[in-house]
Amino acid sequence: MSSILRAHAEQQYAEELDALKRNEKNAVPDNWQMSPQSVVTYLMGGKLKDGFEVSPKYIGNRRLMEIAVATLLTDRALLLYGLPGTAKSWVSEHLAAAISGDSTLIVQGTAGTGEESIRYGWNYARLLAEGPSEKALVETPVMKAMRLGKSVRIEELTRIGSDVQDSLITILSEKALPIPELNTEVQAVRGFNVIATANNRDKGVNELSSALKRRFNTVILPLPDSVDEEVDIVRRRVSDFSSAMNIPAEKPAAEEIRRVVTIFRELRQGLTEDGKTKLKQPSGTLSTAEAISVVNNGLTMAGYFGDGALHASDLMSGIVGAVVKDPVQDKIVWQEYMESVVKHRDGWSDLYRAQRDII
Amino acid sequence: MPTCLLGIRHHGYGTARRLVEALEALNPDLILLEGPAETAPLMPHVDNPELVPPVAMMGFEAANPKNASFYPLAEFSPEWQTMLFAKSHSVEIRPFDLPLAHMLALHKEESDDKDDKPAEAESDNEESGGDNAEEGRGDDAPTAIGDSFDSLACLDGMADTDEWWDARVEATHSDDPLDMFLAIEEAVTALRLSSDSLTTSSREFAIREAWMRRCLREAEKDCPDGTIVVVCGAWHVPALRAKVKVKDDNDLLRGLPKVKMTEMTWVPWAFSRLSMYSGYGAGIVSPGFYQHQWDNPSDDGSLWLSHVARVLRDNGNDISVAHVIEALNLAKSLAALRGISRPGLAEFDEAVTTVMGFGDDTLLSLVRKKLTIGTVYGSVPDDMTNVPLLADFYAQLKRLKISLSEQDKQLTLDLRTDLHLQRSIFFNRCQLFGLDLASREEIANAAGTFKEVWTLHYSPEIAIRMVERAAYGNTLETACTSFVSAVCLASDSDIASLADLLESVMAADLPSAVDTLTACIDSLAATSSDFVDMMKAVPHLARIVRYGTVRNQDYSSVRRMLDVLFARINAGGVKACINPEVDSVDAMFDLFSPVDYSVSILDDEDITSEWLDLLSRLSSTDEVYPLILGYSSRLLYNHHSIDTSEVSRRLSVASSVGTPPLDLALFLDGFLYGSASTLLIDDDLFDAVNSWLHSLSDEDYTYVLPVLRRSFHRFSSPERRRIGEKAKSLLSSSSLSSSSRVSSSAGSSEWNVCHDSAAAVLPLIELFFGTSPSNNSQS
Repeated sequence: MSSILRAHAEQQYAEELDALKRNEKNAVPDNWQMSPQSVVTYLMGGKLKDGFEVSPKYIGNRRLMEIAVATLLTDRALLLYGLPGTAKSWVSEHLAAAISGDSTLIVQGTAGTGEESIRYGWNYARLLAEGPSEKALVETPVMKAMRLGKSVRIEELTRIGSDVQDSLITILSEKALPIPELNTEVQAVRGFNVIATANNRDKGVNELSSALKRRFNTVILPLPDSVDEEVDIVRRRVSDFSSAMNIPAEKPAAEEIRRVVTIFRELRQGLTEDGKTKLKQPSGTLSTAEAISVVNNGLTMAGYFGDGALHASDLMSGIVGAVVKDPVQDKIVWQEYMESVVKHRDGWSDLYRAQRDII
Repeated sequence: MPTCLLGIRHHGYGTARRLVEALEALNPDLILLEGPAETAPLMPHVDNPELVPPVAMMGFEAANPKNASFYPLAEFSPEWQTMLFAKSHSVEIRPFDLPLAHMLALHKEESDDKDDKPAEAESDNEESGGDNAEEGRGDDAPTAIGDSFDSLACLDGMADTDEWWDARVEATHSDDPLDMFLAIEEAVTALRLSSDSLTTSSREFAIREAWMRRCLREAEKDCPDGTIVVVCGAWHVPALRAKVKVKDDNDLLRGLPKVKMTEMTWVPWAFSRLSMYSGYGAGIVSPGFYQHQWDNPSDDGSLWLSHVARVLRDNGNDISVAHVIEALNLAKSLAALRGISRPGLAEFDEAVTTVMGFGDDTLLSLVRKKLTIGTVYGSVPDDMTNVPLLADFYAQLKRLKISLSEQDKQLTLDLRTDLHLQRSIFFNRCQLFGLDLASREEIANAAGTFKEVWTLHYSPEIAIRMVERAAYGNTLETACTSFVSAVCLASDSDIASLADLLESVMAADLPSAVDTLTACIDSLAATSSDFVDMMKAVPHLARIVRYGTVRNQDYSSVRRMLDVLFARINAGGVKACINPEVDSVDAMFDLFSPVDYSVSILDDEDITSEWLDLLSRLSSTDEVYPLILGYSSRLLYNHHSIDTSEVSRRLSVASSVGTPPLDLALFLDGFLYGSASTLLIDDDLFDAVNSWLHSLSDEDYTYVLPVLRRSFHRFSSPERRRIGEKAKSLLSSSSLSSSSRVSSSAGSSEWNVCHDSAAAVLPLIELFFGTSPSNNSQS
């Protein structure tokens, strides 16, 4: 086993990407690794002509993925929008891996991201010594993607300051990056596209200006519709994780996962699954990604500190940690939930007992 | 010349276009169209310029108008285009489907034994007609027939029949118009063969197909050398191709039941009714889009998206041309990705959401309403429509000199004038019947006055609603009456809602409906023991009786009912108020005030005595809920049945040490309910309460204080302040006796004066005024 903690998508799923390329029967656009239909198959999963099974990466509405791929086909930028934990970065990574074969061209947006991370930076020593020249230029991932015709990923676009965000406008509309200091420009090669992600429930976000907003096609990734969908997602990601981490624990029973997912959904909605009891909602978002990490956490606890089988006590600290983010308000929400719902549910008594030890 | 079978999809725009091309190419001598035989006299009118689609052909059973059928047609419906072609090219056209007389009879049989035949719904996505709009029969689960096309759609990677048909049939082009129909025939034949549950198909389908085969044979005999073209739903084509023995068909068609029918007629229809969203069963989802495609066959989407942009701009969204261009690009690439030749509605909708809506699909709902479904209404020339209700409606409008416009108009009516009274009756009838023609404005103190203010707003929707409910009667009056009777008999309503309905019915001057309703209420009242329900009904009935004179109506039957109701209320009241359910107790409490008010306005000895009897029994039964206990004591005092000493006594009893604090609180709440002003004005009551307070011992007072504070807290703060001031003024001018009274009359007040102290002050006053005790001069 390699010692790398988490491989890039194009390495982890190299076999699938290869099989898709072999079975290609549609037209492949310039500088794309495979046809758009194959990209959608890669994302949604399916069976190929030679019998190869492609695993689904995104579990949800197929049409959303089709819209995302069609957007990139028309050289428009794609903005994946939605609540935290709805697979935006995940989809962005896999899209880049499938289309360009390279998901490493990333600009991580933070409040401190400056223009030099998006357009180009300077090697100041050389700049001072020799004056402006090509060699003094420090290439950014955006510039590299434009030159090579690959996909660049911009994560957390809305956290970037507005003045820096707007430097994207020229890049997106004219597909050219002017370098006034050197009197040249970099023009994008076919196959260049931008995949951005943004959260819509976050503190400290800078709304995109209308000009910039208009240059993106926005796809909102929703939370999973049904319990079954969410359980499916969690189950898949957890088994990936446990095999990657070599955890000495049994695969978790579907029941355990379902319980965690149910708790998360009920608190998120503010209503029990049968729709009969209203619940207070905690301050956090309780996304699917958090459910996955809770189960992973539980598995690790079970494997190393427990008896190898996943029990309620292993899960409980993770669940409480995910729900109770604000120590005062969320604690009340949690306790109410425990007393009014969990206590009276059949078969959940172990959960109830486990949580009493923690809070 | 072999017969040409052209299988269509109802309301399919591309199908209609191909059909016209095919008809032009074939140049037939006789056309057989899928439609009941009774529609034949309607067909020649299609080229009348005043008959504008969307319209429908309507027919119903003469004896039972609710057994009706509507055959809606839009401009892009293949049937409409066929009729137009036949008229313009002078080709004989015969409707060759099962006559409506038999169809309706079969419907009746089916609805009679509905339990035996659960899923034999006659309509699927293929059919447009044969629906009973009243019962929404088409809402039954789509049959296996529709599902079979779904399996074909699935094989092709699409979600359902509509999507598949739109993509593969409607949107495609080809040079030879006939090849599409051949391909469809192949597909349907294969589908029908493969799903063997459908070789039998439903009984109604089998009968209809047998009838159609018989008509086809007759046509072939009548026209042996000419070209015969058959236009019918695609699903039926294999059945018509099949070689079935004449004897088998005749067996099936022998002894078909029949009902007597009225003549069929053209009626106006609306796009919203064509759309599935209105629950019309087998319809199409997007008539507005189909109309657009019909009008602009070569549009690649630019025109549609421009329309969308315009609608969104009218709604205040900033949609630029760039948005339209980008959306079109996205739609096209989505279509390419999915392997369809032209973007369809789904692709356009997704493009609008992604580009214009920034991922949010709220914009789509606006587009859907205005464009995708569309707000188009058809029209029928007045002399052609045979819907008596509509004719009566328009005649009434003329008689009452009411002019309609799309804008809202206000009308003030004085019920003393006959014309205005008639208008008021007309509006009330419209409201009862469910036509949103006019709504009444609330003006203060309107119950007993002769003034009414109405706001009129006309929309073509009203005509459609009347067409749908034409079955109820031929004039507005009779239709209203039977509608009301149906409502009354159908549901197991409670007395209160029936009484409410009665009020409206009396305003609409429908004497027979009044009779039905009073009979209903009577029977309900006789058996009901629901106290709350009966109490709720009283104010409505009281209003009718009290203000009936405004409308010159006879309300004696209502009067009788009131007497009965009060007797029953009296009989069951005490029991209902002992340990009532926690949820309903507030509702019950709220009813006492209006009923009391009704009693006062009715001013009838018998009723008043019944009511007072109930109140006194309520207030003297200990187990009655304290809130009601208190309030009934208060009401009795209002009616002067008890005096202040009795009030004090009751207060003392209620506040005795043994009573739980909550009970006392509730009693005081009930007693003091809405009493702030009364306490201020009515000295007797004030005294009663005051004296009771004074009579409490210290311990009792401490016990009562928090509860009392809570009850008084219900008054507003200015009211509380004034009560306090009154108490203070009472206290300051009272003698040592605690129940002295302050008379507020101007004039004498008894003041206890201490003469010595007064004398001591006099010299000082004289100094101010410059007089001496013996000196009378002034300065």
